[in-house]
Amino acid sequence: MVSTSVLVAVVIELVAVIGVLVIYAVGYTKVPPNMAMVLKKVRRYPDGTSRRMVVVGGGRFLIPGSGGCDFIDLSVHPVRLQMSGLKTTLGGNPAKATIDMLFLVKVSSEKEALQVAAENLVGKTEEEFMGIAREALEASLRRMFQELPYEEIEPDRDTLAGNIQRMICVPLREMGIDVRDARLFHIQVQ
Amino acid sequence: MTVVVVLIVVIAMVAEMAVYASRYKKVPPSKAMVVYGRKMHPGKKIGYTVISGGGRFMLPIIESFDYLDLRAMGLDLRLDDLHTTFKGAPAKASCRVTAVVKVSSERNALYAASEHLLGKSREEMAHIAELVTEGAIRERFRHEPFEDLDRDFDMWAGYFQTTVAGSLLNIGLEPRCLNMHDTNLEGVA
Repeated sequence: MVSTSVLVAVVIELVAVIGVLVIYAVGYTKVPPNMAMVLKKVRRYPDGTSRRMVVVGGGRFLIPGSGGCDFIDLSVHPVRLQMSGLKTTLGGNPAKATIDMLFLVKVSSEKEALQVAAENLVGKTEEEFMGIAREALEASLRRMFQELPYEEIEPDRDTLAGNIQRMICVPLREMGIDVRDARLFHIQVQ
Repeated sequence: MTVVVVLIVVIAMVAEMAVYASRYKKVPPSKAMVVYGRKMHPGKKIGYTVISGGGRFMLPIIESFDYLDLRAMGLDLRLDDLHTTFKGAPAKASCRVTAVVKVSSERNALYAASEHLLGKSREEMAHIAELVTEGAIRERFRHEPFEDLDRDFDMWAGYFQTTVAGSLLNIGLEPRCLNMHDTNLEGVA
């Protein structure tokens, strides 16, 4: 009789342990290095704002049925821009430029920028993200050509890199997008 | 009773060995294994680690893995309409460039590759490397007179190593060599 009750207790304990393990396995969500996990749960921060929590790397146990999470792709994407009719100046006179440029863009991995990306880019497909990046790059490029005379845009590689950093990377970072590399394939001014 | 206990112990040992065998993942020399799922400490506190060579036991439930392909990729670019100058006049040139790139085996670059390239196919990685290389070559042609470009191939190697290598390493790729073939002047304005 005693041995039967012990057996029942052991079986109940085993079922409970297996049940807990199964729930943990179902709820534990791993985050690959090329992804960021955005929790549906909103967290209130000390500055009074409420934002969705973002997890980069590692993993987190999400209570099954608590709403789950979304993922943002952090990998790099090439965006090639071919634009014409960019207003600029050449020798003090109005001119129009045609450019062909390559940008390597990604969702920023930095904490603040990633938080912004979590608000702006969550749920977007790769194509939608590249479309948003393309539009932001086009707007920044148009601004760069309008504000700088052609002679100052690309006298050499270093100046171009500085201009891109100042006039393109910074505005895009505010949207949660990082520019990892930029290459000017062709530029022509008429 | 003793027989039952022995049987349970044997079954437990076999089950343990089976779990170990199924969760022990080996890393071929041509690959790097990215292990993620919990906070790890490879120098700094990040949630993944990269292993090249050997193997590792994956903790059930909380660890998972993916592979980065370290094999070399050949690039073959035929570039036309390269804007340059010849004897001071605007000119157009063409060339063929072959290069070999791979996901870098260097530790820091492997971490960069894990973030930037994990999940991408070899074709996608080669496409990115091709675009960066093409951009760098077009920039070089634009800034150097053709007569200098066509003469000094050592300069190309140096340029490739400093400019292209830097850009590619940023995302975890590493150029192994670059060859310029058939550099031709197409026309002078």
